Order: sequence, then C-alpha cells, then structure tokens
Amino acid sequence: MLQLVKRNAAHVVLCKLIEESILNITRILFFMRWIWVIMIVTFVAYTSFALLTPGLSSDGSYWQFRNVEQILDSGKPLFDDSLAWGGRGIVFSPVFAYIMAVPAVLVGSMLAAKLMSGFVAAFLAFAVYATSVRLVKHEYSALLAAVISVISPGAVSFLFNQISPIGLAVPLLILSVGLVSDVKNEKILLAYIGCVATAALLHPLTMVFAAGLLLVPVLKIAEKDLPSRAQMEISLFSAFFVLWTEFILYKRILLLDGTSILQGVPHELFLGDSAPLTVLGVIFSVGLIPIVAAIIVCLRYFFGRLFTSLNIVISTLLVLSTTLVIGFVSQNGVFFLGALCCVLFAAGFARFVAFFPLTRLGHSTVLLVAIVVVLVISVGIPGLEAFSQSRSSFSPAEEDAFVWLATNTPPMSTIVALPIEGQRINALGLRKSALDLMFEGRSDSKTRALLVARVFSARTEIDVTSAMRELNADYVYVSPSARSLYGSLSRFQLFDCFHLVRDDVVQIFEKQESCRGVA
Amino acid sequence: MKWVLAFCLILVVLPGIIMYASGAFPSGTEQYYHVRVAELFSSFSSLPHFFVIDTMTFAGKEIMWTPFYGLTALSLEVFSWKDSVYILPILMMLVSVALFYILLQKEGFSSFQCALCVLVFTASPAVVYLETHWTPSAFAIPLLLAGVLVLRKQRILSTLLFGVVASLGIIPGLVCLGVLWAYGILRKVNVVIQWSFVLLILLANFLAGMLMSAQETTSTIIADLGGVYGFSSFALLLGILGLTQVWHRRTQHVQVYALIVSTFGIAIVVPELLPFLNIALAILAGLGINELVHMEWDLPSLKYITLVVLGCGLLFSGLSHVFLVMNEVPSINVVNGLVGLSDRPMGSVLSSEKNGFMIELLSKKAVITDSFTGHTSDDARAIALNDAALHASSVDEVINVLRIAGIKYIVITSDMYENVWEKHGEGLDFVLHNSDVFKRTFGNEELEIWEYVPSVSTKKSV
Repeated sequence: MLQLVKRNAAHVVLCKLIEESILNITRILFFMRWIWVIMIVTFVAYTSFALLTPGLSSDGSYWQFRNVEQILDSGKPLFDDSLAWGGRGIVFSPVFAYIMAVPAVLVGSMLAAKLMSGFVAAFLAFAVYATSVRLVKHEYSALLAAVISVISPGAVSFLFNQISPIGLAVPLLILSVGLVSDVKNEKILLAYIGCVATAALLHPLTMVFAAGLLLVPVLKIAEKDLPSRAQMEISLFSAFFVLWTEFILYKRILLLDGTSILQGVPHELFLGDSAPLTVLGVIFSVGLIPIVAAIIVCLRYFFGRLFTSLNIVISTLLVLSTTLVIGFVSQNGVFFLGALCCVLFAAGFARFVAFFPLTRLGHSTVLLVAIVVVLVISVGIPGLEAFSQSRSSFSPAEEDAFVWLATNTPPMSTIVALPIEGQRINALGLRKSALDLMFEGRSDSKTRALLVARVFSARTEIDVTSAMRELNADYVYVSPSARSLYGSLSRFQLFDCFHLVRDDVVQIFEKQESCRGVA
Repeated sequence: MKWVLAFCLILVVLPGIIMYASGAFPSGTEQYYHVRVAELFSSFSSLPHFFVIDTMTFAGKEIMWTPFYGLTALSLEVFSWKDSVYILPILMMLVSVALFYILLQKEGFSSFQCALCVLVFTASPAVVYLETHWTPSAFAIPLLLAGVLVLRKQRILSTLLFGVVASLGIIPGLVCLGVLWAYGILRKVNVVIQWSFVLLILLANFLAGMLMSAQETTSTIIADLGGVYGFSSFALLLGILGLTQVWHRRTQHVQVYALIVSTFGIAIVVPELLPFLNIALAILAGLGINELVHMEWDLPSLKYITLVVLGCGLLFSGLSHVFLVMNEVPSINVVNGLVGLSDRPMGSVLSSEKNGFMIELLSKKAVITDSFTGHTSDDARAIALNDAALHASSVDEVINVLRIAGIKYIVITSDMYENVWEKHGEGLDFVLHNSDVFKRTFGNEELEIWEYVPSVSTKKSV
C-alpha cells in the first residue's frame, strides 16, 4: 500500500514537471513567436535561393566541402591536402567540419552545405534578437535588429550559399555578449561558457571578443565605477581560455607567421582582384543606418552616460574597429562588426521609439511604420545587390570546365588559375591547384602569388614557362575572371609551348612537357 | 629672460633653415630609413597595417608600427619627404624648448635659472643633432617633457604620453621608468599607474617582437613554443600567481629572490639552467594553485571550471611534449640508413648541424658541424663551410667545400626541407639531383645518403 502511494506521488510529480515544461515551452514559443517567424522565413529564403544557385558561392566553402567529404570517407579531417598548392599540410580547427558532417551523413554534403547556410542565417537572427532583448529590453527593436542583421550586405556576402566557421562563430559570439551580462545565474554561466568555448574552437576572431571583455573593467573605471568581482572573474577567465585555445590550435602558424591567423589573406594573393578594405566598403557592408545608430549610441554612452547595459557590446565594438583599422583583423571582422552594430541599432531604435510619442507627430503610427519600412529598405537594397553578386559568382560554363578537367587531364596534373578559383579546381576538377587563398602556415605564399601572376601577365614565353616550371604546373586555366584581370590572354595561343585543349567560355592551355624555361 | 627664450627658439630653427635654404638634402642616414618605412606603412592599403615587411633589407625584416611612423606618414601626406624631415624635427625641438622652459618655471626655478638651463639645452650638440635629424628620440623628448609637465594635474594624458614614448623602444621605455621613478620620489607623486602602463607597453612590445620572429632564445623558455627544456605556459602563469603570494617575504629572503630572478635572466641565454629553475617554478606554481583553490570566488562554478582548465592545460603541456619528443629523429628508417653508412669506407659527412651527434654515433664518421660547434674561429669557419655547401647553387661551389673539408658523404634528412631549405629542389638538394659527381647510395622517405664520386673530372680547383 505504501509503495502504491509512493508510486502515485511520483507519478503526480512527474506529470506536474512535464506540464510545467510544456507550459514554459509554450510560453517561450508564444512570447518569441515573431522571432520564430523571422527565423523560419530567413531559413527558407536563404536555403531555397541557395538550392537554386549552382555550387557554392565562395572558394573557401569548397575547401570546407572537401573537408566534410574527407570526414565522411575516412573519419579524419583534411590535415594533409594532396591537391591544394600541389600538396601541402594545413593547420586549422576541424570542429566546424565535424559539425557539418552530422547533417552531411543524412542528406549528402552539398545539400547539407545549402541547409547549413540557411540555418546559420536563422541562427544569426536569433542571436541578435536574444542579445538585443536581454540588453535593451524592447522586443520590437530587437525584432527589427534581427531582420536587419540578415538582410544587410555583409551578412548576405558572408552567409548566402556559403559554409565557413565564421558564419557559426559570429552568432555564438553575439549570444555570448548577451549572456555575459548575467553570469551570476548558473545556467546562464554554463550557456555562456559553452558559447565562448565553441566559438573559440571555430574561429580565432573570438580573441577580439576576449579583448573586448578585458576592456570592460577599464571603461567602468573610466566611469568611476569599479567593476564587480564577478565581472573581473568572467573577463579574466574568458580571455585566458580563449587565448589558450587559439594558441593550442594555431601554435604552428603563430610560430611561422605571427599574427596572420587574424590578419587574413595577404593582399598580394588576390593578384589585384580584390580591393582592400575601405571605410566606404565597411559602411556599405554593414549598412549605413546600423553604423550611424551604433555611432550615436557609442557617443551617448561615452558622453551622455546612457546605455550603460551595453558596455560589453561597445567595448567589443571598439576593439574590433581598432583592429580592423590597423589591419590586425581581416575582412571577416566586418561581419562581426555588422552584427554588433545591429545590437546597438536595437538600443538606438528603442530610445527613438520611446522618444517618438513625445514629438508633434508622435500620435501617427503610420509614420512610425513608414520609418521602419524605410530603414529595412535602406539596408535591404544593398543586401539584394550583394545577393545577386553571390548568386553570379560561379557560372554553369565554369562548372563544365571543372568537370572537363576531372575527365580529360591526368590525375596528378597541377593547374594554374586565379587563387580565388584554387579550391574549386581541387573540389570540382579533382586536380592540384598551384595556389589558393589558404595561405596560413606557408612562408612561400607571396612567392607563389608572384609566380602565378607572372604566368598570367608575362609577355614572353620563356618567362611563362619558367614560372610554370617553378610551380610544377601543367595547365593554365583561363576563366572570365582571369581575362577581366589580365586582358584577353590570347598570347597563350601564340606560344609554341602551350596547346589550347579546351576553347569555350573557360579556356584551358596545356604546357608541353619539353618546355622547361630557365632556372 | 624672454629674450633669451626667443634667442633659443631662433637657435633651434636656424640650422634647419640654413640647410633648407641652401637646397641641401637632409644630412645623416637614419632619417632616410624612417621616411621609407613610414611610406611602407601608408602604401600597403587604404587602411594602415600594424606590421609591414621591409623587403629592401636582406632576407626581409618585419617592422612594427609606432606613433613615430604614424606622425611621419601623416606628414608625408601633406609635405614632401624632404620637407617633412626638415620640418618635423624643428617643430619637435621648438616644442621641447618651450616645454622645458615651462617645466622649469613650474618646478620653482627662477626666470634667470630657467633661461640658463634652456640656453644650455638648446646649444647642446644632442639637441643640435636632433633638430636636424628626424629620429625617434626627436619625437620622444617633447612627449617625455609634456608627460612630466602634466603628471600631477592630468594623470590620464600623462599616462598616454609616457605610453607613446615607451612604444618607441626599450631605451625610451627604460628612460620613462627612470624619469617616473625619480620624479615620484622627488615630488612625492604616486606614479604607480604610469609605471604600470609603461611596463605594459614594454611587455606588449616584447611579446610582439617574440611573435614576429620566434627567436631561438625565447622559444627555448616556453615548451609550448618548442623549447625542449621549456616551461609550460600554464606553470609560468601559476608561478607568477604563486610569486604574488610570497612576494611580501622578499625582504626576509632577499638572497633567494635575487638568485631566482638572476637565474631566470641567465636561463634566457643558457637554456641548460631551465631544468633546475623548473624546481623553483614547480614550488611557485603549486602555491599559485593552492591560492586559487582557497580563494573565494563570486562565481563558484567558474572557479571549478578554471581549475579543471588549468589542470587540463598542465597535463596537455606535458602530454604534447611527450609526442614532440617521440617524433624527434631518429626514426628506425634513419637509424638503419646511418648504421649502413658505418660499413662504407672512411670519409667525413656533410649534413645539418642538428644531425651531427646522430651521424657520429651511428655511422662512426666525422661531421663538419654538430650541436656543440661553438664560436671559435675554426668553428666559425666550419659553420660557414657547412652553410655554403647546403645553400650552394652550383656543383662547383659544393665540390670546393667537399675538397676543403675532406667530405665524402652527404646525409639529407626529411626535416632539413623545413629547417635548412624552404622546399625541395633548393640549394644542395638541387645540386645533388642534377649532377653526375654525386651517387645516391641509400634512400627512403626520411633519409638520403649521397656519396661524392670525383671520378667525373671537374675543372675548378680550390
């Protein structure tokens, strides 16, 4: 009898627990219903357009793609790549590749990549919303910030139809920025540590966040307000943990190249194709309205003692801006900058919404809605342009050319192409490339870039063949991008040492084996 | 006395004006280098870089940005380089003279005394040199004077000024520390914040220099950077924490503290001391962990996570070192090859210095250089010959070295493609594969042994 009573009591407790959980989940789902709508719309939009776009929209995505394929084949990442740079070892964090491998097992690598690009965009929207709500405490501003974060040109350029660790790391960092303000709650502390640890394992940009955390006590002291002990503890722990993780992961590169893991691809490797980072470029990428809002919020923070809850966002923004300006961080930092600006935009917009009713036109809801629409359009239109650029980065004719390479050239051939096409040659052409943009850990990257540039730009046959010999290359891949950079390149047809083996939108020239140039 | 000041200001400006008016190019050589580096910083992209590579120096050199180069680059945007190197030092010295005068007045010197001091300062050869040569010292002096001037009233500005001076290098940094210390004692001013900031800048400079080129000496101290006797970075951090626990006892045991500090300093250049110093570090690190365990944290969960991370870190340092040691040559492939070489006829061996001991023991043959090759004139000659052969670009260069040193065999190990050359087909590797006078007698994926067969005649002799 006693046992029956006990069993019944346990049953009641269990039922109550389940009921409470369902109620909580329902409450959360209802309260956050609009963000779920935004996330679903974002996921569907990004994924469906990605499915309609052939291939992937960046060269680096193809390397991740090959990495995932390698993991699916052998369980191990691609630390020794036999195709890139004619064969090389690579130092990188394989965490993202393993994360990608999970859906790839179920649906295949390419479909998983497309789905991941949609998922990451939706995750970014959620991260910006969650952080904005936590710090700003105004839901509609947070929703607007979430929308802007996924339609801005920067987000589209980095996320649409692409897979890269930074796409996942930035939303985690944005979440960390929101969680770190409330770490006295144990669950939030654990969630924060999980986010930071994962972000640190994904991308070294996490070091910028750690540096921003260390700046927070300095800002507080400047406000004549001592940082709390909990704040100091979490700041020091985060900085220490992140720096140690990055050191362990990238020790070899740090020893060889110093700080190149953050500085990004050297300008020389783009062979003049990509413009360096400019202030206008950053404004275009982030969006004018978010940047202006961020600047106003920062100014009000420093000179008006407002928005004190955003000190972590502002300090991270300061560190990131400084490191971008001095060239310490690559263009990847612009993506993170954009997300931070969206959070600050939420704060600025919340204040505007609070101030608006006090104005003469404050009674006009239509005007407020119109302002919101204008804001969205002002960010969305440049976003559409970035979207169309991402869609057109890879044509069907080029895809055919890669397939031709895979079927009509010897398996050990090395192809000279623009560095931004290197990984595609490896992934789709299944052939070695002379150069790509993964320069980390290679002390000869600039030398090779000069040689590839010489292949395309030299006027004399002997210079071209000498450069080909030093690269140990057999074919030259002349794409429309190469022609737009170097002119028609029809001189290859006049060289005795080069034989045109494919004549289409993409031309491929084979170097005669007997032509070795001079040492 | 204001006439004296005006005279001093004219004295500062006059040499530069005379030289400029005569159309002469700026004198000296150092400022040409600084102008060129400033141009490098502003030329790389539309946004400035923190590091640039100076490809005009032999083997290239990595240079770190400093405010000195920032100001020079800014000036180059407005003036030509020739005008800049005239205008900037004159401007800086004018400001220095004025600041010096104001500082002396503020410190209670009479007008007469101020004027005399300023006159001596202006007429000194050092200032005459600095007002005609744009160097970091010319940049540092007015900032240093300004920092002292505002030290009591505007602490933050003073701190920034000292920080900028310290960023110019170790000597300006040490000067800042000395000036702050002296001023703090003389005027009873608390300079702890300024001192700490200057030390931080010096440390940041040191770390940046360490990152820019992982030098042999610094990497030997830290095991995670490759030092075989090095300390774990975690143990070092914990050791510093432990040191703070016992620092208050330094006056009681000053000899011990002095011994540990001086030994650590010597260990930077004599890494053989590191295993012994490790004992002291272990004690300090243990004290550090003890302090962490007993410390009260506002976030107790974070304390446990930190202890777990530290524990993992300490273990990781040790474990990774195990793998590093295990993967060091010689592997069985290398051993077999070298033992086989012992059966070959007598003759010396040419290889990388790091392979010396291994070759001597296993193949019972002499080498030109090994890890004990020191710094006597004979040793320097041996090192030069070895390097000349390894980086030779023609067979004649190699044969010359072989004949001088009596070498018959050449041993190439796989790690030489990272340590000696950047890739295959460079230097001696290229010569070996493209010449008839060398015969490959042994080869596997980790070791190649070549024999010099002078039966094919060569024209050149020693």
